[in-house]
Amino acid sequence: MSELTPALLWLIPGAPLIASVFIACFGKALLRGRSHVPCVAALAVSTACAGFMMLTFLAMPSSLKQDTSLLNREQIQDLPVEAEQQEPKPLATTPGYDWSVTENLRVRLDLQVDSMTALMLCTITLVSLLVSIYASGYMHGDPGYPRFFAAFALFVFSMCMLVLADNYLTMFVFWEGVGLCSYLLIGFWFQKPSAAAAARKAFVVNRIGDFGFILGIFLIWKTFDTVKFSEVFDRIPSVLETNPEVFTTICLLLFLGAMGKSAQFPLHVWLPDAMEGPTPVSALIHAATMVTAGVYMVARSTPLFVMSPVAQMVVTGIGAITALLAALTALTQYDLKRVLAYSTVSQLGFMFMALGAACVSPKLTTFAVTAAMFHLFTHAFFKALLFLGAGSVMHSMGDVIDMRRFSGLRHVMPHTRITFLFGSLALAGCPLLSGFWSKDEILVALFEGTKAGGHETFFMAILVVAVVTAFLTAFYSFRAYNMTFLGEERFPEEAHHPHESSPTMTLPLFILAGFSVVIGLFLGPTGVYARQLAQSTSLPEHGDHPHSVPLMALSAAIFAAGYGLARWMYVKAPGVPAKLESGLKPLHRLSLNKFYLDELFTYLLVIPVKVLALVCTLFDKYLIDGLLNFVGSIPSMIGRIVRPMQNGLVSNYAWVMLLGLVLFLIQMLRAFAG
Amino acid sequence: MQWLKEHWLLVLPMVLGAFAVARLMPKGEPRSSLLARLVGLTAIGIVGGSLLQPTGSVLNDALFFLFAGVAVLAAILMITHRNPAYSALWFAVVTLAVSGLFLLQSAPFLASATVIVYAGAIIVTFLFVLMLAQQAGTTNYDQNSRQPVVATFTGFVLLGALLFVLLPSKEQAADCPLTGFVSLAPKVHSVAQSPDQSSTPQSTSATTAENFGTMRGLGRSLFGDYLFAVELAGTLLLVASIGAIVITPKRSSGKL
Amino acid sequence: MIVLTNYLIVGSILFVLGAIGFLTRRNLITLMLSAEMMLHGVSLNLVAFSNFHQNMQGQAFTAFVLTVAACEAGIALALILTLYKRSKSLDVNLWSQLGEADIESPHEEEPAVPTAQPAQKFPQLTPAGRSPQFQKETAHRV
Repeated sequence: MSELTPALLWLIPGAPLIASVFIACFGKALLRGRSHVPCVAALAVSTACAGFMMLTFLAMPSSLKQDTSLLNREQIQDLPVEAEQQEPKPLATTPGYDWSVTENLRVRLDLQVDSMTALMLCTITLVSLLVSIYASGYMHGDPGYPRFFAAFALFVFSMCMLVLADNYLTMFVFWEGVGLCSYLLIGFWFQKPSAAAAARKAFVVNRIGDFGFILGIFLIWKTFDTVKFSEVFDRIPSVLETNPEVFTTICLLLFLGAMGKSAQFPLHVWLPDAMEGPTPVSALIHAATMVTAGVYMVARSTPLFVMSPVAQMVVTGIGAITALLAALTALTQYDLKRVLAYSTVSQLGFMFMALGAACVSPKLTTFAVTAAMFHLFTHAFFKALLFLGAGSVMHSMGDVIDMRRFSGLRHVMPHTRITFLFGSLALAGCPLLSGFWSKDEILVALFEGTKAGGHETFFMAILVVAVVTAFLTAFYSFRAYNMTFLGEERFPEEAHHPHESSPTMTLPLFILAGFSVVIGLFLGPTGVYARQLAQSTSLPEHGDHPHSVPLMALSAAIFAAGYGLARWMYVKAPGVPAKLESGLKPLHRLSLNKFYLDELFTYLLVIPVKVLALVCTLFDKYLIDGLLNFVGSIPSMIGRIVRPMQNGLVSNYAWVMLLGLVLFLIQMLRAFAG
Repeated sequence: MQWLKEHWLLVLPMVLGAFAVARLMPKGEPRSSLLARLVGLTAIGIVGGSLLQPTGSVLNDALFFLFAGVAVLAAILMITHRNPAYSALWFAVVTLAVSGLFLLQSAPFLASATVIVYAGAIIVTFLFVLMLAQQAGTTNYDQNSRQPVVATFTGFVLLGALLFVLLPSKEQAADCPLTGFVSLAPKVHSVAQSPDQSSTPQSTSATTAENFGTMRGLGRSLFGDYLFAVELAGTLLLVASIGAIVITPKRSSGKL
Repeated sequence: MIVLTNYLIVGSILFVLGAIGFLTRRNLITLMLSAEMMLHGVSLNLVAFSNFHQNMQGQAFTAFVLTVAACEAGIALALILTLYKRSKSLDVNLWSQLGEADIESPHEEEPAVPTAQPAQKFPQLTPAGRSPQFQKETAHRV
């Protein structure tokens, strides 16, 4: 085993950055149709580095994990393997440079890897690599081909730097970088007004969250005098003595940022609209790079969050509301990608539910966070798989994605169908597949919440919501699957030649399907993932790892119920949905129109802001401009006084010259003759 | 007030002269006023009187006052006359008077050259242009001058300042003959005391006192010290003549 | 040495009178004459100092002034002719395009004063190279 060198660490974000710059510079002139090559190569390098790093971490015995408070600056440096073997630490940092040094704030751009970062990096780079391979087939022939891969690589770079950051400020910078890249990619087809609007919406909604995030960082800086993770966590006890209320404020502000980035109610409205971007971008955003940032940030800030049960309850509550609302919305959507988008929102809600359960008891903290991160991990694979499968369908159906217009694709697209099936099973929580294990862990964490701590009733309600949502998830994922691949064979007229996608597109599907099937079983029940994550510097000592066989049985039953209902409604008795639709018209319409949230926002926020903008415009136009014009008119008025001198008459100019001579001479005389 | 009392001899002719010149300027009336003429003559007389300090040579003094008076009178007439043709003729008179002054200052070559160049060439050309361009006699713009009061006032302030320097005041006259210049140019004064060693560093023997005032001396100076300048001046004349030919509008259909 | 002062005074008077003429008169020809008179004042100055210092430098400079004046006169007359060809007038007030675009130059357009003496009739020669047009001439005179 070779060394875990700084170069290796820097290569993980560096390779995509180099690729991005390279493609941006030479893509249009040189690479053109080969623009994906640098991107895929760079992501492969990143993936290899991340995997290697993961292995290095796995090799370390967890019992030797040191208390984070013992880590000081001298120890924080990259450790060669020899040193690691003697004195192993689950934390690798590599020095960068002083990015911003002020009198009382010194921000260094250092990279820091602990087990949480390592796991995130593996997820990000692997999924991005597969998506990029897929995209090279999917985007083939697009005029913006180089632009796509430049932004893609930049996106991955930003996300890697986000998880590698060792302080909040660096994290925020790349947090914004992720936002920018998502804007570029969602609005990739900027000629389409809907795409441009979706990009703008994503950007603006994210600004709201980012506003909270930066305020939270300010407050952290003010409270702790530092923004570095390790130092902040070290100073928690001292702050707890002097100012315990501040944690709630900090955590709520940070969570506002997470809500924006991870699409939590009510800031989730941008994510379904982000479908306007190319499908690989959706896969990337939903699986690997963007929405996970919020979950990661909250998980990273766990030491802060556990100090504030109120904030944790808010996290859980918001997560539950989001999960339920999104699941209900997904029930009636006809746009395949939109169903998947709402399912992402719903699953993110699950993750936040689990994160919030961390406050129940110190013993449960690690388990709850692990549950959330594990769900994030498995979700990344099967959601990427589902989106890429949807993209494959879209590719074949001539960019039609409305499920009412096609059905029975199982014969035309067997590969897509089988992989999509595995994705749906994983999402629905089919026993033994990855989604089952991670969702089960979340349910267990919530269930534990009902037993301990002072919030039994609250967590009971949350648990009920989670179970209902899990049922809905199973139902809508198979609704989508059944409507698309089962039933009679129908194609929209746009699909001139329905066909299976090329190997470049199906290969990533199969790989992702493989991961979706096995990864949960290998890492979940065996506790490998949990043990790894527990080594993270952000998490306290390894606590309980409870299991609950009845809950497992319950989730299996839920899956069976959801699956059976979907199969009955959309395969066995195709008339039922329509009847149900007419029978429950108001509810159906509510769900179809996404609970009218967009309209609500329009009336509550957009229109008042527009009115305010109008007032500002008038103020600017008449008061400010008037003032400025008045100031500006003073010189011109003075000019008007002297302008008549410039009347073009030679004699006049000569007179002025003579006048100057006279004045000069008289002044001379006064000086000399006194 | 005190200052005015001391310098009334300077201020009075300036005021009178300014009044006269401003009044004499054409302002639409066919003839200039008699009063202004008289005032102008008075002003000239006062200035001349204040300058009247015999040097010993009566002929020299008489010729100087003759030429100087003619020059100033003719100059006033030139700038105030309503007909540009007469102005040109009065200018010829100024030129002749100035040539006379040149002669008195031992510059015979320059005197003759000035007469030839100005009176013989320039004025004749001016008159030709006048005849070509202005055949209808006096015109509106000749009858009306532009802001005569302001211009005259400015000019006479300048003249007053110059004369204040040049005219000897009483206490300074006792000190040295070159009154006003004492303060302004003490070096000139020292040179004046010893005109024999007056050669400046640049001057060669050709410009020393023995050759002074002769054609020979001027020739030596021009073609010795200032040879390049003379060549340049010749080139300038050539260029100017070519330029004048180029600028002058082409004749079209036999009429200018 | 009082003589020097006298000459300088005459020179400065000529200079100032030339300047006044240049400023007030509106005829381009008179303007040029005034400028030449200012040069006279300067020349007189130079010659007086030349005599005062008993060397030839002043006179040499006067010779150059003479040269430049000649050049200036030639060019100026050519320009005057060009201007005249454009506007058919020698009025300097007509040439005010140098000024600000929207500033009206003060054209003190007084009504033309009838000349004191009636238009003089001079004997005219018939134009050379053409046959005399008696009919037209008589009609004009009547």
